[in-house]
Amino acid sequence: MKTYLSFAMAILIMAFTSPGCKRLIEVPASKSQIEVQTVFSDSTLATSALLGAYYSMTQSTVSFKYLSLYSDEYAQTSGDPSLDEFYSNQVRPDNPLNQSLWGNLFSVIYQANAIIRETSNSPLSPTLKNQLTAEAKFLRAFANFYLVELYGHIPLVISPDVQENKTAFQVDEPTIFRQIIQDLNDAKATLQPSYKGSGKVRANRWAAAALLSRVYLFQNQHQQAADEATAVISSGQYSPLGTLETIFLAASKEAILQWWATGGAIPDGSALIPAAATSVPTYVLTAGLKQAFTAVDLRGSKWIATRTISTSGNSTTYNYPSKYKNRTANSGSAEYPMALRLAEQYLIRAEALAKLQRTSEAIADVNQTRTRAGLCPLSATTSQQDCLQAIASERRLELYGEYAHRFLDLKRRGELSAILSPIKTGWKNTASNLPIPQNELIYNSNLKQNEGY
Amino acid sequence: MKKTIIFIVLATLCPILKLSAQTNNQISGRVVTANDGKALPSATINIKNSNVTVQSAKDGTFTILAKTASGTLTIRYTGYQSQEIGFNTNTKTLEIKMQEANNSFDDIQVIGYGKTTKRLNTGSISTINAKQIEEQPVTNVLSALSGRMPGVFIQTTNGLPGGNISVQIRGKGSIAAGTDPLYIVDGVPFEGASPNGTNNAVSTNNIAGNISPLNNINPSDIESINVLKDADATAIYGSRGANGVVLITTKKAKAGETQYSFNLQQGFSRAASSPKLMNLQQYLEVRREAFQNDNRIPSADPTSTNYAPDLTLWSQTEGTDWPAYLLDNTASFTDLQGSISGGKNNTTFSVSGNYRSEGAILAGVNNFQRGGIQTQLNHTSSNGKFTLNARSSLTKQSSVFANPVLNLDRSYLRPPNFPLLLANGEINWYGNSNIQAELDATSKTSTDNIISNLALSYQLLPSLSLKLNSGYTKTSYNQKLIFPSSSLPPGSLNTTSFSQNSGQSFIVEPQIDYHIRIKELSVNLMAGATYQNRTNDSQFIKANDFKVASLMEDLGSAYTIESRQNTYSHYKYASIFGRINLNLKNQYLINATIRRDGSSRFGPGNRYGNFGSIGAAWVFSNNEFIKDNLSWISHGKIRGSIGTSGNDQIGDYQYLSTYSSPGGNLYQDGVTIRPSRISNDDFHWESTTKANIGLEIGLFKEKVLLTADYYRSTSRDQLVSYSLPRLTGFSEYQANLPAVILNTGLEMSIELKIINRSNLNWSAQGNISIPKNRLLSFENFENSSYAQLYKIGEDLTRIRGYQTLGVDPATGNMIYAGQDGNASTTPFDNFTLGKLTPDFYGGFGSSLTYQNFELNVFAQFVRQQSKGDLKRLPGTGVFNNFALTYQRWTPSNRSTTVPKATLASTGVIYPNSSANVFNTSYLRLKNISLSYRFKEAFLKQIKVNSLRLYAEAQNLFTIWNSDAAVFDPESGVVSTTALGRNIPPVKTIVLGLQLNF
Repeated sequence: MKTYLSFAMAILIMAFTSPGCKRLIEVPASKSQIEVQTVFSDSTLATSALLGAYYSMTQSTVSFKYLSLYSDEYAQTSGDPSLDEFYSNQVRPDNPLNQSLWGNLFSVIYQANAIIRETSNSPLSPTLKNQLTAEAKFLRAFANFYLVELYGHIPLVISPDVQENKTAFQVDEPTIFRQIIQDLNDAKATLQPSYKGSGKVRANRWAAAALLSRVYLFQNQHQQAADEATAVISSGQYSPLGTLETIFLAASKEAILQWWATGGAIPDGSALIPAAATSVPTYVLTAGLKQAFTAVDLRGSKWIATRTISTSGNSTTYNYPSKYKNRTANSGSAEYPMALRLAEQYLIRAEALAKLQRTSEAIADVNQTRTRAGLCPLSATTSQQDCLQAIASERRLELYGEYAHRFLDLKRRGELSAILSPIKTGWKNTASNLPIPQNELIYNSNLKQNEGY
Repeated sequence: MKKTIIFIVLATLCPILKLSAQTNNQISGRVVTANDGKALPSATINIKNSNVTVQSAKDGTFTILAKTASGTLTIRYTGYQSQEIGFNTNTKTLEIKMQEANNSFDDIQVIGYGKTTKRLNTGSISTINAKQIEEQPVTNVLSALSGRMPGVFIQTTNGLPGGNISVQIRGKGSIAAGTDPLYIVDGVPFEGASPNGTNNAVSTNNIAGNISPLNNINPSDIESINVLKDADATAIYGSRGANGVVLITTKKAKAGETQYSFNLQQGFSRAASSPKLMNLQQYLEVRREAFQNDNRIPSADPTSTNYAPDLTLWSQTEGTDWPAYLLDNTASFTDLQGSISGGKNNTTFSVSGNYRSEGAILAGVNNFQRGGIQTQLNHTSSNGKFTLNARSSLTKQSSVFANPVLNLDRSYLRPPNFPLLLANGEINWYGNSNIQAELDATSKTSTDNIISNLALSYQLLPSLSLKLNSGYTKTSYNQKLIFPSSSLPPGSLNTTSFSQNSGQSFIVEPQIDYHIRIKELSVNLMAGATYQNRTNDSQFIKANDFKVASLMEDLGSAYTIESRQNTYSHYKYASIFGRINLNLKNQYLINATIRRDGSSRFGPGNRYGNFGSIGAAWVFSNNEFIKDNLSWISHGKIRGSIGTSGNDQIGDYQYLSTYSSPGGNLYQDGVTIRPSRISNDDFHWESTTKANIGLEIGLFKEKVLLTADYYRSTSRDQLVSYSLPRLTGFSEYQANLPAVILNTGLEMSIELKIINRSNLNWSAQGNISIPKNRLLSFENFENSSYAQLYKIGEDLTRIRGYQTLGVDPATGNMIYAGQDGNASTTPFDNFTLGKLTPDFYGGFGSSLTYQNFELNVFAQFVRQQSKGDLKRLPGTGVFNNFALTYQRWTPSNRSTTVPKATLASTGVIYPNSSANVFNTSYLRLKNISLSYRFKEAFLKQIKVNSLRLYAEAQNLFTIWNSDAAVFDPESGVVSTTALGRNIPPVKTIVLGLQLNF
């Protein structure tokens, strides 16, 4: 009996595992997914993968307005607790906005790492391989710069190997900066001065140099910072500085790198610009920042909008950021979110030169943005100390609301506590780093939370 | 292939033929039913204490040859009481009238690919019948199982009609992969998982959360639901049986006069329970105290850090109870069922229709409607060898709910004095939320479901039959989430999400059953194969900026498309399986199953898996010694089983590393592609080894029935969406966890027939389950993503967080424990504070029938803990808090467990501390039903067969610690995740009328 049964079973199993039956459970390829090997064996798809990384970078720009709340630039009127945690410098490790800031930047890093790894073994042309790799390295450096500046202790992720990265340890800041500088030098060596495709939305040689000059400044390597800034400025591609109205338009003269935005409206548009004349703006300038613009400063009138709203007889005036004008897609002249621009290069060089005791050259550079804004130029006899003071003030005004410049400047100059503790109740020195997001600590127990959280 | 079978059959038949040749006393007879004299084919007739057995023919006749002049015949037929009849040389023809079995042990027990009786079943199975389902006015039939079955833990996680219901059979065996059981409707697998998955935009922004596909089954169409729990019962379903199997059998048409039947119900619902929050005066008092404690002064300036509109601008005297406003409204419902059935002799039919319309307890405009038609045709050929059962059902559902989903977890915690309108008449969007305005958002879902089954069988030889079961299921979901400008904070773009999801599945299962008898040993062999092919197509489009508010369901009116996505997946599944069942003298039983499965969800090389089980039972009450000496034991059985089953509840194509193109996400006017998944071609089946021992006892002619089971299941290689730190670029990937999870438990149930007289019947039943869950081992645990979430040796559902050591009477601050357990300024975040696995759960009830009245009462109980919804310290933020925080520390109330009011955020510590873990044990009066059946004499006058009036109540009251910071002890807290959108369950009162003529 048993023999027959096992005999019958054996036949069934044989029938079942034969090639004919194996086909029973073969399924056609998914119609909405492309396998990695396919992506990197086709020049168009491989380029699309790079554009995907740029797209993710564009998406991450929305997080930087929270850093304006975190410093002394903006206040918020929404009552949203996640925003309030930024405003009051008490970001909880489980704050979803903090989580997405971290996650989006690391997503860019993964995409860059995947491009660097996959193109190296691909059948793509050497020219395209080099181009894609160089741009990927630029994006990786850009993301790493903000991660290390905002979080302090981050892991160094330079491969797309998830198995390995999921247990990564944090490294010290100099290690991250060494990688950033190496990536930017690699990118600068390969990239051409011209831009790929239309606009200035993919990194060229000067974008790499411009970011490098910033990194050197932050590292107090003033000579290198000045040299890189000079390379960008003297390329002639971006100078002279145009009028205030043109800066944030798509492909403006001053732009060294912008991120491309659908319909010429920055992703933040609808969050920053109130919808109707009766709507209270969500993000408003702090009184301190508003007052920092003198009456003659054109930026105070061109880059700040006001809205007066009256409720039950009392009218309140709100000042809100207005560097970008387009609230929604296709609603005006195209604007792209700014990543790097010439004015910053002048201010970097000014600061570097001033530190190198070359004050008169520094004064010339800082006067570039001052005169454009309608301020009187600094006199040639300004002292080094006053010059640095003027540069700091100029950075605050010129770069307000852009890419967390204010917060990073206060942090690198060690002024966070002095500036923020009088105006933010509950300020703690440990708030100079954002908390590592809670889930990261849960899913990677090798990570350590920053002090104070 | 066919030749082999015939060869096997003939070979095994030979010994029987040889034996029969030695006999001399020929007895013939006919086996019929006692009530209507119908022939019973294939009844087993055995000469007692011999190995001579025959089966009755299709007309019920049989002929048996006895070796002895006199003796006893034993006649058995599944579902009927066994009979013993003496014979001698004078006996020529016997008319054997079989009584239907009226004790539950001889009821037919449906099992995977077959049936048996409860008495002879070797596995662990719980059953609920049509009557118990009908007593409960539920929308989703799963709700009706709640508390009724040991080992089956059912939670209503969303109380809206059609909302999700979570089912867990014998504990959580998987860390993350689906823990849904396998649903089988009339032999055909029914996709039980929500069509959207958990992270899909459609379920995330939908108040109804995940849709339970089981809503497509009309509870009144169901004859019985059997839940298969142990290896013996589930291993035949191989790779899909690890989480248990739910067999749903629909009602069969009965022969006879054409019957017309109608059932009408009308009822009302409210929320079963509501949270206790502070009232306005308490709220204002705590808030003011917080400002005072922190030496700050409330400001009316929106840009001030001390801005407190609740203290400076809003009414100080008038408040609203927001949870009640939002979720405790009266909903009414109407349910109508009708059926026509009948047929003669070989052919029966039935046609039934149903319609249900139901409101919701949610504020705003809500309506859920379901309608369906079911047709059934059964035919048996005149020689009785060929049978055909065809059934098809068509169900249409549509629901429209207000969708205040974006801030659901905050809305109900708005300060009581939050004004919906500002003084100037404008909508108050403080905190980017306004409950009334947000009710303008709508969630619309319409579902079409077709189930069509065809079962054919042919009896080739008296002992050999061939079956072919095939089925086709198609379900399409069409969802729209409409957020008009009026429902969104000013300046937001209005938006509509359109989602379509259509899945179709085809299955064919050939099967051979063979039965032989070797002396006293009855052998049943079954072999079969499955081929299933399922495709799923879905589309998602999110469109913004509709210029015409009334055209928000028109895609063409959208100015921009924010995102669009479609997915297509294809799943193929093929298996072979077999079962051998040995029965010696109805006393010793062995049941063994084997299954080999192939699934396209795994990478090449990992596609096949083998599963199997062996079960054995000893029906000791059929032992001669016990029969003679302990006759008060009417049924006794010890059974045991061990085996493995698997789980493949993961998405398709997960083994590939891919890029995808979110079409709307352009860059430089060109298309972008981004990584959508990282590969792991290494993952394979998840498997669970289940062991079970059980004891069943029936005493005093089955007046007392006791069942006890102990199980021990170990799950390995859990398929999980392994959570990754985002620094890897992803938040998850598909993997097998090298973890071993142990689920053990004890289940007991009791049924008592206390009084059993013609006009008075009183019975009671109860059950209890004591589950335990433990993470046994985890390879390289310290470096895994789970090192913080779990602990080796502890429950998988452990609640982790900070340990509080009470409130400092001097300062009013909460004291937290450091890693060493002592008070510390650096609190340790990974104490085990509790677990979500209940300590025990069960239900008990009683039925009383007196003359024409019937009363049923059923209660459910659970002892458990839950994490509460204390988000903030007393006084922090412009948010109300649970009433328990009113007992905060004050200089005059120093011995308390609630810290003092403050404005300072304590970050994640307080909400994740033991102060936010509550005992949410409850006893819920699940059901009361009272009915009156009109007397026959009266019915004859009005020419009606039966008429019944009834009243039913569901979830009428609940006993629990209502101070706990949850909405409802069953559904827990309300959160914004799709799985946590826990609208509380409803209490319902229903009046109904049932008519047959």
